[in-house]
Amino acid sequence: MVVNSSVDKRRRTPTSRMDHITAYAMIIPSLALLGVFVLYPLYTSITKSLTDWNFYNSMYVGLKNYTVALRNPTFHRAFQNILLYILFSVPIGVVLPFLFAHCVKRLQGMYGAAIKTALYIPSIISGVISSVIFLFILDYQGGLINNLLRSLGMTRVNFMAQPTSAMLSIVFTGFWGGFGYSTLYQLAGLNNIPDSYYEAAMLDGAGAFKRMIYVTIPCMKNIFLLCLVNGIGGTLMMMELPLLMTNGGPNNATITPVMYIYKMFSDSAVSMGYMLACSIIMMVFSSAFTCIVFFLIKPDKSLE
Amino acid sequence: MRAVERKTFTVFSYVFCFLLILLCLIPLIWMIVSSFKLDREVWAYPFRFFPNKWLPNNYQTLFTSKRVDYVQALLNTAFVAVIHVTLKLAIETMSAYAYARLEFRFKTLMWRVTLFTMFIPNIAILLTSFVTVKQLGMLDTFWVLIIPSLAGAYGIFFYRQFFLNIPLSMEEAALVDGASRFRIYWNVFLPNAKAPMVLLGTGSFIGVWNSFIWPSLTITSPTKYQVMQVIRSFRNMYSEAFGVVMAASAIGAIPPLIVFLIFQRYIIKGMLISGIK
Repeated sequence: MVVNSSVDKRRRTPTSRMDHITAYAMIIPSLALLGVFVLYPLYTSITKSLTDWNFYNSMYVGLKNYTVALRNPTFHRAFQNILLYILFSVPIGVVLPFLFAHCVKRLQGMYGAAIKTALYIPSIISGVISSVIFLFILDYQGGLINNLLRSLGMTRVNFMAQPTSAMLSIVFTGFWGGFGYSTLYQLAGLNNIPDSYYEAAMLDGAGAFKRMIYVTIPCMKNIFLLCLVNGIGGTLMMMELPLLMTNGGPNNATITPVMYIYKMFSDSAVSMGYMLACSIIMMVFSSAFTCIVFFLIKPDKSLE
Repeated sequence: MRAVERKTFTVFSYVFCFLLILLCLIPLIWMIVSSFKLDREVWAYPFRFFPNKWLPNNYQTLFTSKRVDYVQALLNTAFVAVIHVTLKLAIETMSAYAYARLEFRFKTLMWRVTLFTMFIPNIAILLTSFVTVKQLGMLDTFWVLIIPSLAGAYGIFFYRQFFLNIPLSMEEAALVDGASRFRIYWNVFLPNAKAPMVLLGTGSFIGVWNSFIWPSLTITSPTKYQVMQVIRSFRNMYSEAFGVVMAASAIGAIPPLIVFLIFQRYIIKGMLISGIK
């Protein structure tokens, strides 16, 4: 027993029979929930995606649903849109919080605490509420922005009517909901860089710009990577904001893949098998992304 | 020279941070301000940021509306959120303790299955979860909001990581005294895990409170509507009356805000720590 515990500190002394029962009793709830509400649905999703299931009967149709899905123009459009969303939102979502974090870093005391709270608040506001607020702010008639434009003597913009401005409105709403959180996150990374690095760089005569390039950015590499991964992963699954703000319009210019799938819920003309095939394609996409990320991060981790 | 440069930078960063706060809060301030305006004033031009007179009419409309019972929705959501969070904390910490400290057969297999579920995106199982809850007869009950979302591996993973760092000596003393494993979990591990529990607990409270997609699929009777569903239906019903919608949003945003402000010490600190790792 003594030998055992000295070999591996983490593993407790041999667990008795009673402990086995306790262990299973403690694990069964979570495992049962995962089984019923994740694994079983996943199994059904995969098997039924090979059929023309419509809730009552299902006939095996092979990969037909997949080939149809991959040729569907709306689904294509949704994928193009999601690439645009990523292009618009992710770089800004990493770079601006980085700059903001630099400014927040210097603040101490009450003012610093207040700004941290303020930065966090947008991220606890729900998608429904933020979409409602921004629809109002961007409204053509009584919106804040258009009223300001009008006061400045400019023409008003109907944000939700043009493809690009509709998408940018959604991106901005999403940015508002997330940038404070990323700023705090990057701030944590900045605070984690030892001051001695900067002192050494200053002794070597490095200016502010050089310190940024040679000290800050290399030290923040992991944080950037994580923000990037979270940003892309989150945007890939985006649905709520476009659904609530434009419902995919105008003319499918803001539709996303997940939203395309979700909308089939209320469309009785579509076979559920087809809908499931689309969602499995999305799953493959996101796991491929996750795998690539893991592949990219691994070599970096082993170096540390 | 250096000092002057520094000083300008500090002044600059103060001003900049003030603008940042404005960026964060102006949409919310606009929401509150507009909720006290009459519709006439909302659409008027030239516009004023603050209302002429702060009138509670929109709030009166909101709480006396015959079509939707907003108070009921608030109570419903609070009920669901509290039960959900309690169960989630209990289930996840228990499993995490067993994975962290006990040895039993099939442990590795079970742990791998649990981790595997973290990589399944929601959309892949949205329809079939719906079918599952339908088969279980949970549609249009509060259970459909409470139970399916209890299934999750992230919390277990997070608590396990935390429990692994609790020194063995703490439980050894209790074991010598003849305490059962469950007692150790209850009396030693839970009290020590207050910080991560507050962090994840507030997270799931806010998540349940803010959820929209799942309730709108599964809850159909208006007496069981959740807050976000009601706000959305207000928006559809009073599409020209932004004042009422803003009033509903302002009220609906308060509970998460209160929970956040109470626990913000834990939340921001916890986020900063987990951010480094």
